Formats: sequence, C-alpha cells, structure tokens
Amino acid sequence: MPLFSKKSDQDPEKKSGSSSVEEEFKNAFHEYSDALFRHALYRISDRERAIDVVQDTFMKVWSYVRSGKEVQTYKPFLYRVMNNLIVDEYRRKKESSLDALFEEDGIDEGTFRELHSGSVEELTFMLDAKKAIELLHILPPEYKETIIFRYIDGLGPKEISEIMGETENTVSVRIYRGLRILKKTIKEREEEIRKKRTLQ
Amino acid sequence: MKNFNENIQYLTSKQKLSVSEKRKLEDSVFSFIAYHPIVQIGIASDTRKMAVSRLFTSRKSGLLFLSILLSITVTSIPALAEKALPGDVLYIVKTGINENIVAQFAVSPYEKVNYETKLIERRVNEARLLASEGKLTDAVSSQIAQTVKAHANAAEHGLNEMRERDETAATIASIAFDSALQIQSIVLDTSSSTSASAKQILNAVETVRDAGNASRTIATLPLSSLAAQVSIETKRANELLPTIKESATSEEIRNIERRLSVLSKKLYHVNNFVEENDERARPELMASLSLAQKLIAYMSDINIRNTVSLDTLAPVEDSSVDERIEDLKSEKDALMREIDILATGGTPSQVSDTDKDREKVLVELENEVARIQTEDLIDESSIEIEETKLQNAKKQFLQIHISTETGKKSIATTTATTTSSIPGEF
Repeated sequence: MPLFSKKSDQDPEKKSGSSSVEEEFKNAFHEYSDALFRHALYRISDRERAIDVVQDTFMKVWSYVRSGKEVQTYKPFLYRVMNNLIVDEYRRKKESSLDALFEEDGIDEGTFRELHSGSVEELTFMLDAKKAIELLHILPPEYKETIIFRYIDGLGPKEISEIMGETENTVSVRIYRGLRILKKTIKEREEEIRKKRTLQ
Repeated sequence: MKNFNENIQYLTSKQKLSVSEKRKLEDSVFSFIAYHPIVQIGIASDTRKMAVSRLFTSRKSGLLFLSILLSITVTSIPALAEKALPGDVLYIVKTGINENIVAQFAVSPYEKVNYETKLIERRVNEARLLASEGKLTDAVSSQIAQTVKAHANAAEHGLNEMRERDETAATIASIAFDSALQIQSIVLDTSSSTSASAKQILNAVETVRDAGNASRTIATLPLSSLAAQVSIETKRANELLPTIKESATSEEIRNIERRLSVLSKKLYHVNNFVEENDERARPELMASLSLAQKLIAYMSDINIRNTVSLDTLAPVEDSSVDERIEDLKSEKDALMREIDILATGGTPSQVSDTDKDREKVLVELENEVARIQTEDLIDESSIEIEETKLQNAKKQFLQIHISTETGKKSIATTTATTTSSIPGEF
C-alpha cells in the first residue's frame, strides 16, 4: 500500500475543502506527536533536538500536503519523513567514530542463516528491558533505529521495512543482531560487576 | 511476568512531551500552517496561464495588447501614471491599464480580495491627497465613491468564492477586509472632516462596510480559530515594531508598546475562556484582533501614520489602579511559573557548570520577582515602581532564556552523536 500519492481528481468526496485536510493533519499532530518525540529522543538522545526534529517533520509533511498531494496513512508517512531527517542529520555529523568503523568494515546483512523461527523470542526471553533501553546508544545506528521502531514504537517488521525502504528480511536480521549485541553486552557488564564484588 | 515487548513499551511510554513543550510545538506547527495555507496549485496555475492568454486573446485584447506595447515602448508612462490622481491625464492609464494588468495575476479568491482591498486604500489615499490640495470636487468625489463600491463588490465576490471552499478562511479574510475598511474610514474622517466631498467617500466606505457580512459570519467562527488568528496578528505586530524604530518618534514607539502590552494582557486573560470554549472570550478576541490589525496597518503604512494618531486609530483606556494591581499579580505569577519551568527543564544527566551557573542566576531572579510587591499599593507611583521592576525582570528572564536555548543548540551540535540524555551506564 503506498504511503502517499498524488491527489486524485476523481474523488470528490475527499476534496471537501482545505479545512478537512487541515483537520486531518491537526488530528495526526495530536495523535502522533508524543510517539514521534519518543522515537526521536531515543534516536538522537537530545531532548531539544528531538522536539526540533518533530517540528521539522510536521512542517515538511504539511508542505507536502499543502502542495496538493495526499497522505493516505499519516502514521507511517510521518515516521518515514522523520527517519529521513534523522538519517540526514546523522550523516552530516558523522565523524571517525564507532559508526564510521562499522561502515568501513561493512555490516553484512546479506545472510539470514542465523535466523530461524523463534530466534528473536529466544533472545528477548529474560532480556532485561530496562538495561536494554539504557544500552541502546552502544548499537550501530542501523540496529538502534530498527530496535526502536520494533519495540519502542511497537511497529511490525513489514511496517518498518516500508518506512526504512529496506526488505523485511533485512529488518528482521537487524532486530536479531541488535538484540544479540544488547544481550551480550548486558551479560559482559554483569560479569564485570560480579568479578569486582568477588575481589572486594 | 511481563514479556520484553511489554516491559520496554511500559518503560519508554513515560517519555512524553511536557505540557509546555507540547504547547510550544503546537504553536509553531499550527502557526506554520496558518502562514502556509493550502494552495490549489492545479487550479491556480491553470487560471494564471488562462489569465496570461486572455491578455492576448480576449475581446479586450486590443486594449490590453496596446497597453503592453505602450508600456514597452514608452516605459516611463506607466511609472508616471502610478503617481497620477483623479483629473490627471494619466489617471486612466493607472486605473484602466496598470491596475487591470496586475488584477489579471490575482487569480485565487484570496489574492483577489487582497488586491481589491489595496485598491480601495489607494482610492482613499488619492481622495485624501486631493482634499489636502483643495482639489477634491464633488464630481471627482462621486467618481471615487463609485470606484470604492465597485472594488468592494469585487472583494465581496472573492469572499463568496472563498466561502464555498473554506468557510473559516473566508471568515478570517472578511474580518481583515472589514478591518481595512474601518481603518480607511477613520483615516478619511480624521484627515478630511471639513470637506463635504470627502464625506461622500467616507459614506461610501461606511456603506460598503455595513453591507459586508463580517459581523454576521464572525459568530460562526470557532473560538480556537479566532484565538489563533489573534495570536498570529499579535506576533506579526510585535515583529513589525523593531522595523519602524528608526522612522517613528519615541512617542509613537511608546504608544505602540503600550498597546502591544495591552494585547498581551488581554490574550493572557482570555486564554482560559478559549480553552473552555466559553463564548465570553469572543468579544475580547474580536477587540484584540481589531487592535492588532490596526497596529499592523499603523506600523506598515506610512500614509496612515502620517495622517492619524494612534490614539484616534486605536484608542485604549487607561487601566484603573485596581486593574493595574490585578495585572501586576497575574504577570508576576506567570513569570514565576516560567522561571520554574526553565529551572526544572534540564535533564539530570546533562548538568554542566554552565547549567549550575544558570540555575544560580535563575534562583536570584526568582527571589527578585518574589520581592515585587502586589499588596498595599495605594498610589500610581508605587504601582509604577513595581511595574518597572517586573519589566526589568522579564527582560532579564528573556536574556537567560535566549542564552539557554543557544547553549543547548551548540551542545546538541557538538555532542549529538556521543552524548546521551538517557542514562547510558549501569
């Protein structure tokens, strides 16, 4: 299903005037602004910037709508616009960091052998949600955004794939690998704490 | 035991925009919508093309084509015609050619209403100039009155077209049109009170105003839309003030500032009524809208500023001692709340030395505001002293607010990829 399309001239029902379009847009603002803010906050870890990104998202979407184009479903469309804004900003600011190292090595997402039915459930079983949230920042951006879409925004792999413009398989692999890194890191840190306590 | 999905959603659902953040965001986004209304691109561009083609193909093509040729070959004539007044040889070029050509490009109903309003203002200015030179005869006056009516009819036609598409937008446009007519009426009344001929034009403007349906449709406008419009116009008036600071006298600036302050107080008081959809807000909002529009006209049109004083155009009553004390109290409370929000707005994980300094300054400012007296103020001079203290505190708060915003932005730029406001360590 397309997220957006050119305004149809053959649908007089939908052309009931600019006020109904404005009304729909304002309803979308009230319905999704908190969720979008939450998503942005966990992605960029800066409250002020997150609010700015939500604002830019709504302004961009309004510019799209006012030019006569139609948004069929606001939720995925808003997420997609915001995702693009965050990715653009990230690209601009990327320095020689952990992210750049990952990019140089290239994240191999072509093979799905490690995925089998129930593999994600295995990983999330007994995974501490609080610690996972606290560790989101250590994930490479591609994994971090997919985990946020999946668990914080509560979107399914199919919806995420439409927003991110990736295949459903790629999304599933990223979720799996992101969770695996989180679980491994939590385990390592718990191990370190245990060792320290033993030494004391 | 809840599963991972439920737990993570439960934990993260606590992250929400605060009420003030949401309100600020809503203001910005909805103002953006108001400033960028939906454009019917298809219709507009087609009509624009048709307008261009009409210049060359319609029955009037001979006249229009000649007018264009004339404009090209004798480039100075249209420019000279712009300054022509009724009775001048070139006046026909100004109204019959120049204005008609421009009118062809006003294709949307909104553009048409705006353009027709401008033409009415032009005619009134012409009448005023003639009257000042003693040249406003009955015949010219009658001609101008007729033209004013014709432009008003065209504007009303545009408003009706708008109404078919968007009732709210049409009502807001009709309020603006009515306000423009009211301003012109005041200008005429002030500048040409002795001239009987000018009275004829004044009557025409007032007749047109009475015939308009702004007052009839205003009752149907949702309070929230009306409040949003007042907020937009007030913001615009505030933005215009710095642009005229060099050209206006200090007395004029003081008068404008006083009215802007009245506007902001009115908006503050009426806000609760709007939120509860209480109709008692409507007359207050209408008065505020009218005041904001008059201030905009006064600041943006030098002719108006040179002709009429602000006390005549937009009179405001001096507040009584009781009202001033009441205002002082509510403004003091509002400032205390703002300081409190700014002081508690940071996230604990981002506390830096700058944040600590800011906190200290905010505590000092809060104490200062707390010391402002709102009780036992018996005379005007003691109220004035406390009002001045409050104004100074407001200025100081604004500076802190701006420096905080700038600081946050620069921190965000340098550390966005590495710093986390969400605790990142065990």
